[in-house]
Formats: sequence, structure tokens, C-alpha cells
Amino acid sequence: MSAKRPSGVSSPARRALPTRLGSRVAYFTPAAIILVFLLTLPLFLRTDYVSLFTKIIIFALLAMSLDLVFGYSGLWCFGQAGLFGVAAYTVAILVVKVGITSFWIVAPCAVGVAVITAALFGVLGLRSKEIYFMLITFAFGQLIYVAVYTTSKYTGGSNGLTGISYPDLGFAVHFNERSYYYFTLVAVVIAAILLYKIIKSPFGYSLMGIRDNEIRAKSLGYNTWARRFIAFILSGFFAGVAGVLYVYYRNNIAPSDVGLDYSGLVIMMVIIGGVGTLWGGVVGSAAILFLQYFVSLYTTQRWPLILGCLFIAAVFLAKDGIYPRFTKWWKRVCRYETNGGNGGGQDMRGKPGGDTYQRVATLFRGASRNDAGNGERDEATSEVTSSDG
Amino acid sequence: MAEMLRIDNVTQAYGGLTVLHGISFTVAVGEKVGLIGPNGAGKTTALNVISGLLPSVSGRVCLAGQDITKLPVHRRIALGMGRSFQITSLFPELSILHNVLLALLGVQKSSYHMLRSITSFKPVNAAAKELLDSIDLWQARDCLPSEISYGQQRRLELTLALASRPKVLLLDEPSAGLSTEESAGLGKMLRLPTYENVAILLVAHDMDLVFGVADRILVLYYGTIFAEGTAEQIQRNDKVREIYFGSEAYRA
Amino acid sequence: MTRPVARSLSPGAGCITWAREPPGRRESLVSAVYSILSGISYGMVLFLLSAGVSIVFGLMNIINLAHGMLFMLAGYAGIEIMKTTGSFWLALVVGILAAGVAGLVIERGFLRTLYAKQLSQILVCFGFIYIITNLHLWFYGPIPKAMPIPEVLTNSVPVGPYNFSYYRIMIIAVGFLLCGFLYWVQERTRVGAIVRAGMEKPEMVNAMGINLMAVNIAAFFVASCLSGLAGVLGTGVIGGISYFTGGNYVFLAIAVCIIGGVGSIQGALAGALIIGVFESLAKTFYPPLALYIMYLLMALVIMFRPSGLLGRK
Repeated sequence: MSAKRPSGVSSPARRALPTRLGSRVAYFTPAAIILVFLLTLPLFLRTDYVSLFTKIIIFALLAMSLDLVFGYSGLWCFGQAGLFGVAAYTVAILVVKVGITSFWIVAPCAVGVAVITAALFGVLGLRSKEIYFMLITFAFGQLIYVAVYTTSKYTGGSNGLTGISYPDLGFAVHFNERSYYYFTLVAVVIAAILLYKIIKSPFGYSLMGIRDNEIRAKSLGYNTWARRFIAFILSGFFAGVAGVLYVYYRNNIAPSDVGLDYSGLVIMMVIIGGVGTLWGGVVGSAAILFLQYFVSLYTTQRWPLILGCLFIAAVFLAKDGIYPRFTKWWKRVCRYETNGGNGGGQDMRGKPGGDTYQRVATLFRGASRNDAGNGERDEATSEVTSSDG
Repeated sequence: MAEMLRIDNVTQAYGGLTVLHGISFTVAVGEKVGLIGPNGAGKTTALNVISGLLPSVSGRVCLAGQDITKLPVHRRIALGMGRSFQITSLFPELSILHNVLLALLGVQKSSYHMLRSITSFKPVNAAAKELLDSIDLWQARDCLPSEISYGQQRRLELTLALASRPKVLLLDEPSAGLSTEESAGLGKMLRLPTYENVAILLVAHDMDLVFGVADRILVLYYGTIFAEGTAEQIQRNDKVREIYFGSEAYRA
Repeated sequence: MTRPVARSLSPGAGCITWAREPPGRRESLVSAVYSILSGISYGMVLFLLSAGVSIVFGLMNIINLAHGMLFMLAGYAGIEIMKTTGSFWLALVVGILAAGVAGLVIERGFLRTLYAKQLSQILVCFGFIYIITNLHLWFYGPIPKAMPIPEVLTNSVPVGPYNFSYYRIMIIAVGFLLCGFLYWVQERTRVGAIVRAGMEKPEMVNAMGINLMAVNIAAFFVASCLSGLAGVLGTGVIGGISYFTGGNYVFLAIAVCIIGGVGSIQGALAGALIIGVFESLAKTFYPPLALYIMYLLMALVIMFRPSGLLGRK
């Protein structure tokens, strides 16, 4: 399967079949159902399920943060659990070893450490792409694992650190499973909205452009290195947030939570859910963690075996991922269109275009830019509209 | 006329094979220069060195008096270069509209915006609509580049290079694969008053296009500038005929 | 799944603990010589392991993450044969063939259909790592198993106060011999020329009527066999094989490739010896550094030569 996916839908419901409103409803119904379910589930589910869902939404955030680099930037990061892990360990060390309990100090520190780590990875790793980037992030993921394992004075070595209770927000909130679930949900939803905004922004599209055709992106004036670097740092930020949420959820942390096993798990979530779809990460997280939960009712030791088979099966069977499959199916069910689709393209084919070049030229009438300085470029381009072409 | 682009003694080699042997030339403001030569003469390499995709082994490249030899590609583009590609080079997984939007945003600060939707930038979107209207692709704006015809892809390719309104346009075989009619239209367009002040370095095999557009023509032959002159001078140059048609054809 | 860190249980290179007071200058020199020798023998195991990864990557653009599993598999086959028959040489042959055949199964069965889809290949290999590691834990348990060393090779040469075993000397000899042979094949023979050309321009090689697919399969088989050789010989040097060996050693092979560069025998040798020797020296003179020196070296190489010291690509 390819790491690249179409960028998704840009303007929903233009050529709606029944009505514009109807297709909007169709478009948002699944999301609304899921949101309502997530909001109300602690009211009717057992605490162990609430706990499972807390884990699912934390990993959903981690998977989405990975998708930002993996799917949208074409950087195959195999060290995401490392970024997640440094944040988690920072929280654990500050709480257990240093004794700072205030969430408002601990969490920003932890996320900051994750961002700095991502920046270091980025400086070294972004000298290369794809397979080499993968090897390098693989190595650095392992480095974090080794570092955590061997500095047992601070990290507790192979036993990890225990005794991190729910976060202390400084006002009268006493968390239990249910209220911590809501806390996590709010944090993850905010992060997901931010991530969604990022991928729909000029910056997000430039990442996809760089992923698709780096030479062209450079030739249009994009600093491809800087943008990849920023993307990687953003990913580190969100992975750090997930790490903070995770360590408070687990109440402890161990090296196995930061190793390559977890990096592989998160990649699996992104791939099963759908690479480059953002929401695919949520779907993948839910799918894998549900499976893990139900497998663990029978056996915990054979889980890696099942996961390994899942990896191979996913490569050969789940070519698109669950999320794109679902959207396709849903579109067919509701018979709504989200964009022009191929129809428009077919109409356009083979139309003679001898004079179109002159029509391009008319746009530039009197607007050649050789006297415009660099700072005036934005204006120069927007002149196209004002100069009434 | 003021000089816009200066190539000074540029040498380029792949491994042991020297592709450009210290070529030098200048392009004045608004001047249209054609760069022709047989296959393998180093034309595309020259464009890559000028646009910065290939670092030159030695020599200097200056844009409007500024030495840009050491600058990366995106800085050169920001200084006012535009580049099209011989092999259509679009963003295959983005819609046509987003291809054009990215081209328009390339040199703008707003391309770093992270929390505003790309469609909320009104002037850029209006400019994109106008550009797409002008090449009859507005209807197909949500298609992927693979879903439109080859001629349309070539037009889109050129539009991407033009979108940022460069001072110097580097065109690599803009007429490749176009019909004669379309090629002629392209030639006419490049001579329009609009482009009076845009310096163009045109690499092409299509002699009608080059002779129609260029004020001055450089013939590149095995990495050296073999001949230089106006269209008539080049057409009358025996040596040039020889390398193009072979000595026997010339004798005949 | 918790698993011990890289080599906390497998003191690969000369693992020396100072029983006496800190060494004087002469003793330092002797221990430096000893740890360099140990480092070279350890490096040779790494070389045999990573030469295969490097060749396969150079030729087919596949990062075979399952390579470490072949290493482990060969080690196990060797140990079992040795236990039942007592013949070291039979163990060696069976181990090599087991790895070679398993490699072919992975290549023909899975990777073949995924040419040019690097991400999918990596994921399939990742899946194999999970599966084989877990199966291993299931059937053999977590205790590392060591390979009995044949009697001829149990003697050792004294190096100052240390003993440098014949076994390690044999590994160094085998490593250098194979390296010389592979280099000769790579640079001087028709097969090597085809392989090198295949790395640069596969279409051209195909167009010349050479069946590149056959070359690929053969290269994959040879690479797997090398890994098998490393697995059988290496167990005596790396301190036994256990369920996490495969994962950890493929990681080491990747480190070798990053440092040495992929696609050439000399690159793999350089990377392997650098890691082996530096790690061994660090273990002798400043143990806390030993686990990190590899990463330091990698970072340095990435900074200054992103394609590796002797990389072909």
C-alpha cells in the first residue's frame, strides 16, 4: 500500500443528490453518532470499558500525530512511541522522583521535552527521506528505549516508575476512571480539532505537496526541509500530549511502553485505519485496542503473535484502510457526492485549447512583477483579482 | 538593457562525466533567450543549475546582480524565478485547484498559516479561479491531475510556473507533446506585451516555437556554447546546420 | 511485551570486569589490544549478519527486517543439531541451510509480491519479528541458550592476563576470508558486475537479457545463508540466543548499514568493525558509554556523511 492518500474532501456536498442540507446531514451523521456515544458512554458502561475507551482515545491521538508525518508528510517515522515515551517518563520522573505534582507545571514540561526530542530527531533524521528516515527514527526509538532502560536511578530501569496518581489540577477535581475519561476526551478532541485545522490549512496542503512532488514544491518556493521539520515538531507535540495523558491513565510507566513494539502498534493503527486520513488513526486505534482487549480475556501472552499476523494480513488485505472504505460505503448508501469527482474530468478531455494560452496571458496584463520587491509579492499576486483580468 | 540573469563560467559534472564546460551567458530584463541543442547537450542540466536543483561544481549564477550560486531553490524562487518542467510535474494526489493554490502560495508568508483553512484565503482563491478559468479547468478543479488530458496537464504545468509571476521564467520544453496549434498559441502568448518585462530562458526542441519567441538563441553542444545569435543568424549558421542535420544532409 | 535491553544479557565484545586495582599504562595497552581483538571478532559476526542486509537493500531496495530472525533461527537449528549429533560442522551446514531456506520462503512467499513497496515490505517483516519472537518465547521460554563450542576450538591464546579463544580467532579468520571472497565476487566477477549494475540500473540489466529476478533470488539466498553462518558462529561470541536476539540484531545490522553505507561489502565491513571495536573499547575503558557509543557514531555519520561512510547509494 502506498503511504500517500488522496487529501480527502475539501468542500462537502456541492452536488448533493437530494438537498444540500440533506447531504450535510448524511455527511455529519456518523461523526455525530460517535461523538454522542463517546460523550455518554461512561454513563452506561462498566469501568473497565470506560478505561478501555480512555486508552483508545489516547492512542487515537498518538495515531493522528503519527499520521501527520506518516501520511501527510510522507515521513515514515518508526520512533513515535519514543516521543510519546519521553513525555510520559518526564511526567513520571517529575511526579515520583522530583515531587512536583501540579499538572500545570508537569504537563508543559513533558510536552516540551517531547518537542525538543522531536526537534533533535528531526535535525538528524530529515537529512534523508523514506527508508533512511525510517532507519534513523528506528534507531532513535531504540535509543530512547535503551536510555530509559539503563538509567534506572531516574527511570526505575526495567520495572519503570509507579505511583503516579491522577493529575492534580490545583482545584477541587478528584479524578476517578469516569471523570478522567472526560478529561482525556476533552484534551483529545481539542488536539484533534487542531490537527484537522492544520491539515486543511495552507501549511497542511504544502506538506502534502512536498510529499507528492518535492522537486516541484521546491520550484514553487517552498522550503521543504523547514516544513518537514515543523511537521515533525508538531507531531512531537501531539505525541507528547498523548504521552502525558497516557502516564496519568496508567498510573505507572515501564520501558515496554516506549519501545519499538509500541511504535509498531501505532503504525499499525494508522495503516489499518487508513494512511493520510487523520480520522483513520481513531478507527485504527479503536479496532486494534478492542481486539487486544478481547484477546486479553483469553490470553495475554499470544497477543504479539496475533499482532504479527495482523501486520501481514493488513499489508495484503487492507489496502485502503477501514476509514476510506467506510466513507466510500457511506457515500454509496446516502448517495451524496463530496466533490466533482471524475465526471468533470471526463467532460474536459480532448477539448482543443489553442487559444487558452492567450487567455492565461490576459490575466497578467500590465502586472508583470519585475519592479516588485520580495515583500510586495503577496500584493502582487492578489493584484490578479483587483486588476480585473 | 539591465541584466537580469548572469551565468558565469558554470561547470557541472555527474561523476566523471562533465556535462557543462564552463558556460557563460546573460539574459537581460525582458529578453527572451532560446536555448537549443541536440539531446544530451546539457540544456536541462543548465536549467537545473540556474534554478538550484543541482549545485554547480564551479562558476557563478547571478539574479538581478545578486549572487545566488549558494542559495537553495526556494530562496531563488522567492527572488523571482519560475520554472516549468519537461516531464509534467504536478502534485498527483492533490486536486487541480489545490495544485494551483499551492503554486500561488509558494512564495507567500501565508503559506505558513496552520489554523486557517486554505479555502479561506479569498484573494488567493480568486486568483486560482481566474487562472483555472483561463485554461478551462475550473470545471475540473476537483479532479486529480491524472484525470485530465495530457494537453491540459501541460497547461496546468505552465500555469504553476507562471502563478507566482516570476521575473525570470525558465521553461523546459513547454511544448513537449502539444499539437502544432497549441504550440503556436503558446508561442504567441510568450510574445504578448504582458511578458515584455519577464526574462525568459526557453529550452525547446520545437524550432518554430524557439524561432518565434526568442530574441537571441544559444546553441548548446556537448556542454559548451557552440553558437549564439538571432534567429536568422542561427538559421544561416553552417555549423549549427551540421550538428542538427549531419554533414551529409548539409551537403545534399 | 517487555524485553531486556539490547545486549544487557549478551556481553558481545570483550566484557571485562576489573578484579584488581585500576590498570597501569602497560596493562592499559594490553587490555586495549585485547578489547580491540574481541571487538574485531564481534564485528565479524556483525559483518556476516549485515552484509546480507546491505546486499539485499542495495540490489532490491528491501530492508529485510526479518534478517535478524534468520540469524536467530540458524542459531537455534545449530544448537539443536549440536545437542543431538554433537557435530559442529553438521550444525554449521544445517544452520546455514535453514536460514537460507527460510529466507527464500520469506522472499518468494511474501516480499516478492511487494517489490517497490518498501513500506509494505517493512510491515511484513515487522509482522514476522512479532510472530517469530513470540513463537520462540512460547516454545523455548525466556532463558538464553548458548552454543557448545567444538573441542578443537576451546583452547586460547594468552593476551597478557586475558585469554583470547581459538574460537574467536576462527571467527575473525572466517570473517576476513569471506569478506575477501565476497569483495572479489563483487569487484572482479561477472556475477558481481551484474549485481552492481542491477543496483544502479535494473531496467538496463533486464534489457540486456539477464534475468534479474534470478539474480535477486540468488542474492537473497546468499544473504540469508550469511546470516545463518553468523547465527551459528555468533552464538559463541554474543553469549547465547534468546527470543529477543532476532529483533536486537537486526537493529544492529541497521546500525551497521547506517554507519557503513548500504550496497557494498566494504561498507558493511567498515560499519561492523567500527561498531564492534568502539563498543568493545568502551566496555573496557568506560562501561557507561558502551550502550550509547553506537548511537553517537550513527549520529556523527548521519551529520557528516548521510549516505554512510562507504555507501554506494
